[in-house]
Amino acid sequence: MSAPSPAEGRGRSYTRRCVAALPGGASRTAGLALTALGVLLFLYAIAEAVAQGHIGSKEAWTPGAEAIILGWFLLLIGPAIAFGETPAAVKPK
Amino acid sequence: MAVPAGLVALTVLAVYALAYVFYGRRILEQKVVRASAERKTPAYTKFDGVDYVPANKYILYGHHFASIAGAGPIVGPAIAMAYGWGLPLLWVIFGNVFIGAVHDYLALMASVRHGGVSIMTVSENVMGRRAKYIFLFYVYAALILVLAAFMSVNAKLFAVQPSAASKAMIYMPLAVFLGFLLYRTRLSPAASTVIALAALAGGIAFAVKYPLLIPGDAYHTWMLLLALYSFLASILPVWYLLQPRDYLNAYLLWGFVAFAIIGALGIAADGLTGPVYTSFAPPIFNGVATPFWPAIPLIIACGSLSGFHSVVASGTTSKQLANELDALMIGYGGMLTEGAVSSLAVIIPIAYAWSHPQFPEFLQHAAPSLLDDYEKGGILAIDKVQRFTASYGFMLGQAFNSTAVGAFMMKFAGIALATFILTTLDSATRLARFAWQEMLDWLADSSPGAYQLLANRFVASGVAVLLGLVLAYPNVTIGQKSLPAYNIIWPAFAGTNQLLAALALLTSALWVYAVLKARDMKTNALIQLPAWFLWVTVTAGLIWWTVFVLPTYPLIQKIGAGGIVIISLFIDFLLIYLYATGLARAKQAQVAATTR
Repeated sequence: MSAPSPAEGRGRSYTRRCVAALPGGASRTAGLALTALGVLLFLYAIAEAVAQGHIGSKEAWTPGAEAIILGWFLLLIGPAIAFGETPAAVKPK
Repeated sequence: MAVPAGLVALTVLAVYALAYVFYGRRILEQKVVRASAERKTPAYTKFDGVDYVPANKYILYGHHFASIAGAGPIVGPAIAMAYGWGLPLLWVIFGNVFIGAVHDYLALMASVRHGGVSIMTVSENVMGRRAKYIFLFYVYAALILVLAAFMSVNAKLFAVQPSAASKAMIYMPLAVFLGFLLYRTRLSPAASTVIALAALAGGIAFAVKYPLLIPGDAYHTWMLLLALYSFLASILPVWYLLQPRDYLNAYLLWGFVAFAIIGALGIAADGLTGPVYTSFAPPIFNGVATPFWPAIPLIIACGSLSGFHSVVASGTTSKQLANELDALMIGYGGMLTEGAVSSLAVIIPIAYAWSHPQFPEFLQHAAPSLLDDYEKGGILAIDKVQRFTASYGFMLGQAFNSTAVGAFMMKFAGIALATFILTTLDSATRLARFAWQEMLDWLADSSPGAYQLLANRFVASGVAVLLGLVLAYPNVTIGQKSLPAYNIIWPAFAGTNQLLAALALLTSALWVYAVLKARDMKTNALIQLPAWFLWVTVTAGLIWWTVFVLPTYPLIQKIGAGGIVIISLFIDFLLIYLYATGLARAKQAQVAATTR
């Protein structure tokens, strides 16, 4: 799969065309959902970091520490599920 | 008169450049291996989208370099400075050029010519089936030990230096994002790289400012998290995480080397304040007088040569090589780069800082906790890792005439070291998976169902991670200290790793003779002599260690590590016997072909 050129499908946003070009099915939806959740958790952790000067605490688990660790794993797995197939750029020609 | 730092640095660079062109390219690539762009590599012939995936040579160089560079090129030379700087530098340069880089390149090419299997399986072709399984079992055990050690070291690092944990949190998803940019968008590799590097710089700044703290027993918690991470990284396709991550890593590592060169040239006219030579046998291992020969391979491994590299070269790297002509830069060049790390980023800075009049003032500013040790016992009294980071920072501070720059570069050196260590962890997991799958390959024909069940990538990776955890997670009492359980056998690792190097190089040498039929006297001498020198040195080193050093360890390590070394020596002589019979068969075949 390669990304559609911006010229393709005139009248639709580039982002929507990219998403439409992805492999379909439940796995794509699940993968994208996990990725989005991972991003949100990361943003939450970053917000906690900026507010407190560090992420987490040595005294007890904080939402920020839990969020960044869970988000980390989701960002490793989510895109793999969403973009499951080997990209065309990688396949031998 | 003190030797100018610039002269030493330029000599190192010149030797490596000449070696690459005249030895690497003209002899190894063109005469011995006869590499050709026409021959399809296993990345194409066995493409599977997970492990066998052709990679851009710069990306693969990054992966290979990041995988082979652990703590070895830094810690080993830092310890070896006890000999003065001359002997360690000679070992790094000449060991690298004639042994280590040859070892890495030939292991890579032998694997490529055998369909991407490990050097252990390549040995079957030249030494027989028994050699293959003995070798595989030996390497698998060593990899589990590496896994356990690196899980423990990484977990400890994240627990005591929480900014390293923050950095890892940002680094891995960033690598996945880079992979997406490289392979899923129309952005050029250059643009993708610039975006990722900018994000990485921001990420490092964020990590330094916002460390990740976790409560309770952070060390063991991190170990479990890292075990899960290693499992995932091992089963995910290489193009998805491993390639982009190590490609990104290579820039950090290259930056580290580049700054070392800039630093050395910045102080070019200054003399190295450390002694060229102190003693042939200073007390290194447990206070025992440690003779340079045969012990040096046990002290300086990765910076000069290391058996682990042949496992990487014939494990992950060979399966991603897109073109045989890329192998020289990746295999031979990657090892020379690691030698550059040892010589330019470790030996020269420590030799420079050794008794420099401004070094105490720098320590006072940048690392006051080290000053007391330095004033009492000199630079060798400072912990080996901090000896390196402080010297590296000091050299750059002097080059830029700024203590603030020096203090920052000291932190940068620590980050580079932490990066070296983390990437080796998941590479070792994937390599252990390959070794497990090859150990069970006999099942593939007799019972395909059982093979599929036991050797699929999920089970193979899971078994490796679990075994590593069993060695790393629990603590045991050794001497009077509570240490992770793998320490029972860890003292044996240096020797077993270098024995692996000797056996891998001999296997490659036999492949060159028996299969490639490169038999002219000069070419053969260039490969066989260093291989045999290494084997004699490492075997002598292991025997020396068993007789003189092992008795100084607590009983539990005498049994654990001592047992491992004795088993290793037994395997060593058994494989040499199989090597000799393989060589005899090759010679007989040559005679028979000549008389026909």
